[in-house]
This record gives sequence, structure tokens and C-alpha cells, in this order.
Amino acid sequence: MLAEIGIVTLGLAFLAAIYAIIASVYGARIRSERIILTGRNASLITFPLLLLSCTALMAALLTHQYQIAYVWQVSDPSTPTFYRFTALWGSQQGSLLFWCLLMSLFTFFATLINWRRNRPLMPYFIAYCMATLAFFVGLVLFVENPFVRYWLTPDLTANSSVLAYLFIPPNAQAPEALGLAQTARGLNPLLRHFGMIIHPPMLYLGFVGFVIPFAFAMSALASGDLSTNWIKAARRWSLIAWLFLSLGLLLGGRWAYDVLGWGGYWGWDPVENAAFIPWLMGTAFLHSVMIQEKRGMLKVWNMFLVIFTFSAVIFGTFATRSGLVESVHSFAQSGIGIPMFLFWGSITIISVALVLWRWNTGRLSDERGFAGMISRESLFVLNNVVFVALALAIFWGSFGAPILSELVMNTDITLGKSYFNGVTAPLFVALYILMGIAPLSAWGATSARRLGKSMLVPIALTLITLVITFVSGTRDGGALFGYGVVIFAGYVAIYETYRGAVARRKNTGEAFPLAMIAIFGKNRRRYGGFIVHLGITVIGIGVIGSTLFQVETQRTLAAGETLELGGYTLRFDGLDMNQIAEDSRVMDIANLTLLRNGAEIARLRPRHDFFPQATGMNQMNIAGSHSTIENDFYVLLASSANDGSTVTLKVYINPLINLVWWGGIILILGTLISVAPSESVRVKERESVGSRMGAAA
Amino acid sequence: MKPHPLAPKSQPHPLAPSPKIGEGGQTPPPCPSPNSGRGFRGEVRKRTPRWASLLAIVCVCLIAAYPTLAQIAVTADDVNRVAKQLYCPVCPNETLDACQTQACVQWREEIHTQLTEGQTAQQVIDSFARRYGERVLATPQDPALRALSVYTPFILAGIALVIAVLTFTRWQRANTSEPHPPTPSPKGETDTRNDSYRSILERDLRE
Repeated sequence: MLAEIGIVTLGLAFLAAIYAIIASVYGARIRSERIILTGRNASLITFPLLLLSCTALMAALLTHQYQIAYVWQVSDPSTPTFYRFTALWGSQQGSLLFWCLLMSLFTFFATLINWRRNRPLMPYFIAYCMATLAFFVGLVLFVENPFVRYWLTPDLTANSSVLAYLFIPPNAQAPEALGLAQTARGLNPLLRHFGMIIHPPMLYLGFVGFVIPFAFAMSALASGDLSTNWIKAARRWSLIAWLFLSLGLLLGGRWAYDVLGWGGYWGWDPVENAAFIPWLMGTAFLHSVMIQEKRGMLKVWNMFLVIFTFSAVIFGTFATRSGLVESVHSFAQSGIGIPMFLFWGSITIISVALVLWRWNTGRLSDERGFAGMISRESLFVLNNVVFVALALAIFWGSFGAPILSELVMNTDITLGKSYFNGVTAPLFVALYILMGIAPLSAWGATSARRLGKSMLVPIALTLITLVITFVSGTRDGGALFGYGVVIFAGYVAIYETYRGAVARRKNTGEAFPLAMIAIFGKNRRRYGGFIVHLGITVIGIGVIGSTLFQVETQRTLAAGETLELGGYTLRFDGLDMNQIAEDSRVMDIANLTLLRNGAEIARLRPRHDFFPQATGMNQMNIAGSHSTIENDFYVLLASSANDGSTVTLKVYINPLINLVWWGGIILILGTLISVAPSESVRVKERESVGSRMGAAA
Repeated sequence: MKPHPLAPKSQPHPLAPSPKIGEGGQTPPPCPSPNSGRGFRGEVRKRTPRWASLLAIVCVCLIAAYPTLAQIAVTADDVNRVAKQLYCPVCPNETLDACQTQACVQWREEIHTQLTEGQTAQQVIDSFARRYGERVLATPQDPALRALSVYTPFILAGIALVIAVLTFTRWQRANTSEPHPPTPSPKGETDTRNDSYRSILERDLRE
């Protein structure tokens, strides 16, 4: 019954999306309000339908319906309830369905919120959103259906009597439930981690969130309403998508650090990069959009940025799910590769063609000229150049070069950390320098003297910090340079916030804390942005510290033996072997004592998990770590003797690594502040609603 | 093709398709399932022959007698330093030092052996590249591939920068040849020459 509910609701959602596209476009063309409204309602109904479909699959997972092939593939009777929830996105079919649900959720709210405010754009907005949704729902329905069931047909031999079909074949019956339960595969061990309940949904929300700004941009092009309306509508949705994508990337890094067992959080893996590229493009757009809002410039560029951000999202999804690249993250090779490639190619070409068409008609020309080289807009353009160069370099290393070399030179190559670190490091340096200078410049134009003067305090603070860092023992020139560039950007963010509060205090006579609160209330976007910059600074310090100063060693120890690393002493006390967990994993746990200056500071229990039931990757190394703001003492149990008398430990000291997570939290906090509507905007909205009501009366 | 749900559980290769043949034509051994025989504790104990023990003692004495030879003692850290620069020929995007499969354990042992025999880190890397192809390297060794891989992003970044500079120049030229009328900002923007930080800030906040 659950499978039938899932299939029917999925089918209805597909039909509703198709109808919404036709009704919205046709209604807009013939200016029929009634038809447009039916299109809107059809688009809104996709969310409850897909919610029902997802609920049916979730119920099947929770109630052990192993006749449904997806349930059989991602769970078994020993799977705890917690992981039965996460199994919804534990494999290709379920995660695609979940992706569709989130996309319909975004469309649902964006449609309701913007229906009155951006009325002329909405029919085309709905058409674009529904076209994307219909494509993905179609994939789920026709190619990767999670409701396919196993059936026994009496006319076949016992060895091949089980068939996977969506509908009941003639004379078929359901296989014995017990047999199915005994052979069920269980969830991929790598996904049995708390972070996996949050990481994929956040990443998917970030990905599908960029459908909204893309649909607004395309609706502006299609409708001819090329004022700043689409920018205003798209900006906040871009920020929301960016927030979720940032969260997804951070949680993914944390998951990799905890579960993948290599002592790091970012491996430049193609799938990580596939999520990072839209983040870079989206960040470029969030900066560039300000130039269009404030100066009426870069209209074409903003269109391209929105298109390529969305294009990067679709390409990333295609690369991850089609088996185009090999990765520890990627889903198995499946039949969705060609349709996804065609969708990605066609939507990119159509969108670019629309921009070029409107550009040729002169509807996208700049409203103002360029006032001077030293201005915020010129620095933002440079910032955009760096972001796009970063995205291109990462795309090239992850997909471009490996695919091209295989196609043209018939040679399979891998571009690894050395490539990415070497290519991206100078670009990141440029980015941090711009992040420091741009907030000090003015819109329009500023003089070099004024800019230099406003940089004096942050530069002085940076130099003092560097001297302290040098005196405290950091002598590496590259590291000091990196810290200097990053810290400068952070000091600028703090200094500008401080100057804003001081200016406010002088104007109003308020106390400094009140003035600080007031400026955040007055312009959350600006000061939230500074907090985001501060978060990026803290992340930068963490990345430099943990990359340049990581130390590691590998040693085999017998019980009672110790190893020394970076002023710490690690003692092996014994091994707890063959511990069975609730989900039937078998664990070997090393008992270790961490000492510093002879005093015990922590007990660590790194472990090796083995999943006897699982196919594929069936083991994990879960690190034991002692975290301080200074560093992480991170230990992996690499191997152990059969009798447990000795263990081989891989030990890392990751300096400042926790700043990466703390910086991430600051970044999220800043984004939340920026997303919230500021006081002035709310007042304007109230006034505008009031005036509309007055006019109506 | 869907797996047969009632079939006995098989333990296929955990991550990857069959390995590809390297440049030297040698096929890497398949990455065996980590659980085959609990590879984690995969030390196979064999009784050492007496003559081998004697030989080992002689070798140790020789090493002790020649300090230069004694320097070849290789630690796990030495092995990891080399393994970090190599990618597992079978598993996707995993460096040899981090890969947990039994095949990678064997490859690390091979690196250990080669280093012990006196080969340099580069020679070990070259030998892996010869056998398994360019894909085991973090950056290709072939000059054409290396140039294609490493320089392309810088060329792209350069092109982007040139486009940006041309855009600036075009904007500036347009600005000087056709001076814009002093159109007030849509929201009452003041002259940027205003030297008061507060006024600039207020203007920013107003916009």
C-alpha cells in the first residue's frame, strides 16, 4: 500500500508540474488571470504531493517493508531507527526523491511570498521552477524509482524467480518477508554518523535553493521586466541558498574529519568540489548584485552569474550521480547520466541565449558610468574575477583536465592536493586582500589617500598581531604572510563595525553598546556581512594553521609503551576487541592515555568499526581526539595484532583546526543576521503596504 | 541490474570497477574487500626458517658496520611521506597513505621495500607511475599533460583579469567621453568627495 501511495503521488506531482508550466506560460501569453492562477495552484500542490510520497517511503523504511527494493538496499533489521530516517537519502533513488521534495518546498514558499510583490514575474518564475522540478520528478518516476518492489513469479526457476517491478506482474506474488529481511543489505557504513542526518539535507537545500534566483532571473528575461525587481526578489533567496550550502560544506568537512579517517577535512575530492563551485559562484553573485542594486551596473554579468551558479548546481548533481567521476562520495553509476547531461546542457544554452537576446535589444545596458578605478564597484569586479577564476580552476582540476586528457590523450590522470593547493593559494590570497580593502572603499570613487588613511588602523593591528605571532614561535615566512593577509581582512571587518557604532554614537548620543545594536538593526545586511567576513577570517587562520603546521607520525605500540609527538606523550593501555554495537558493527577500541608534562590530560578511544553484514565499504576508522583551541590531538587506530598485544596508531596534531568549525559558526551567524530583513526595509514594506491599502480605500 | 535479494551475500570490491592497465601494461591487483579474512589485522604469521634468521643477523651486523647503509632504515613515517604523494590505483581519489584497503596495505609495504633497497622517494613514485599510469600521481609527469593541467587555470585567470581590465577601461572611456549628467542617486546619494566618514556611512546605510 505504501508503494502505491508513493507511486501515485509521485505521478500526480509530475503531472501537476507539467500542467503548471503550460498554464503559466500560456496564461501569461494570453493574459488570462484565471489560467495563470490554475498554474500557480498546480505548482503549489506539488509540495504536499511530494511530501506524501516521501512520507510513504519513510514509513516503508520505518516499518521494514523489505519488499520495496530501496528499503532492502539501505536498511536491514539491525538498522537503528535513527539511521532509518537518514536512509531516506542514503542512496540514489531516495535522495533524488528527497531532492524533489526540497525543491518543491522552496518553490512553494517563494511563490507564496512573492506572488503579490512580483506579480508580472511570477508566471514565468513558476514555469522555470516547475520545469526543473518536472525533470527531477521524471527522473525519479521513470529512471530511479524508489518504490520498485520485488516479486516472485511462479513460472520461473527458483534461482531467478525474484524480479524488481514497479507494478505487479501477472500471477506474481510478494516474496516471503523473512527471507527478504535476512538478506537485506543495510545502510552504507560511511553514512552511519550523526552528521549524516544534517549534512545531506543542508547541501540539498543549498543546491535546490539556487533554483529560485535562477528562476527569477529567467522570468525577468522572459517577461521583459528587467528592472531591479528580480534582483530584489532573488537576493534574499540566494543568501538563504548560500547559507544552507555553507552549512552543508562545513558539516561535510566535519563528517570527513570524523569518519573518513585521514586526519583532514577537505581532500579536494571531485564531489566536495562539485558543491564548492556553486558556493564560489553564488558568493560572487551576492557581491556583484550589490553593484546592480546601488549603481545599476553589471546587469548582464549578474545574469550570467545566476545562470552559471545554477548550471554548476546541475553539473555537480550530474557529476556526483552519474558516475562521471570516481569519488568516495559519489553514488553508483546509474542511468540518469545522459538525461541529466542533456538537461544541464539545454538549460545552460537556453538561458545564455535568452541573456544574449535581451542584451542585443539594449535592455540590459548599465544605468551609470564608472566613476574611478579606486571604488567599491571596481574592487567588487576584481573580487568577482577572483571568485570565477577559483571556480574555473577547481572545475578544471576536478573535471576539465581529467576528462579532456582521457578523451584526447587516452590517459587517465588525477589532479590532487598539490595541484589544488598550488593553483588556489594565490587566488585565495588575492581574495582576502580584496576582502580587506573593498569594505574601506566608497561607492562611486574614492581617493588613494583616503583609502590608505582608512587602512592605517587595520594594518597597524595586523602588524602588532604578526609580531606577537613571530615572538610566540611562528617563523615560517609563508605562514606569517598568510596570517597577515587573513587577519587584515578580519580587522577591517571589526574596525568598520566599530567605526559604524562610533559614528552612530556621535550622531545620536547613544551609549556604545546601544549604538552597536542599533547599527545592526538598521543595516543587517552590511553588518551581517562583516560578521561573515570575520567568520571567513577565522576559517582562514584555521586552514593555514592546520595545513602548514600539521604533524603526524605512525607507530606500533605494545601495552604500556608510549610515543612522543609535539610535546605530548601517548600511552597505549590496552585493546578492547570484538565489541558488538547495537547495529551489529564489531568494534576494536584502543584505550589510550594522553599526557602533557607528565600529567594525564585525556583518555582517548580511537576505534576500528567492522560491518560484517555490509557489502562494499564495510569498515571505518573513527578517530579519538583531544580538542583545544590550540590544536586537535587526533589518533587513528590503523591496525592491531590478532591477539591485541600491539596496535599501530596514526597520530596527528592539527594546529588551530577548531578555528575552522568556530569560523563556520560565526559565518552562519553572520549570514542569519544578513538574511533577516532590516528595520528600514520592514518600515518601507509597512509603508508601501499602507499606501497600497490607502489607495485601495 | 538490481541485486538478487534472496541470493547469498557476496562481498564484492568495496569501491571500484576493475582496475585499468597502467602504462607499463601491468594490471594492479584488485583492491580486495577489507573484510576478506579481516584484512585489518592482516599480518600473516609464518614460521621463519633458521637459515633466514642467520641471514638476517648477518645483515644486521653488516648494517651496523657500515653507517652509510644503516641510514636506510625506513620508518612508517618515511613510507607515508611517499604514499601521500601517490593515489591508490584502484580506489577513487584516495591517497595511498590514507586508503584502508588490503591492496593499499600491500602497496605501502612495497614502498617500504623499495625505500629499504635504497631507492629515493622520486624513484619509488616513478616506478608506481610507470606501472599504473599517470593517474597514481597528484600531478601528471608527462610534460604536455602537466602543462595542460597546471597552466590552464592561470591562463583562464589571466583572461578573466584582462576582460575585467578591458571592462574598466571601457567604462572609464565611456565616462570621460560622455560625461554623465549629475543624475542624483535614486535614493538621494551625495557626492563621493564628501570627506566625512559619517556621511559616507549614512549614505551607504540609506542605500
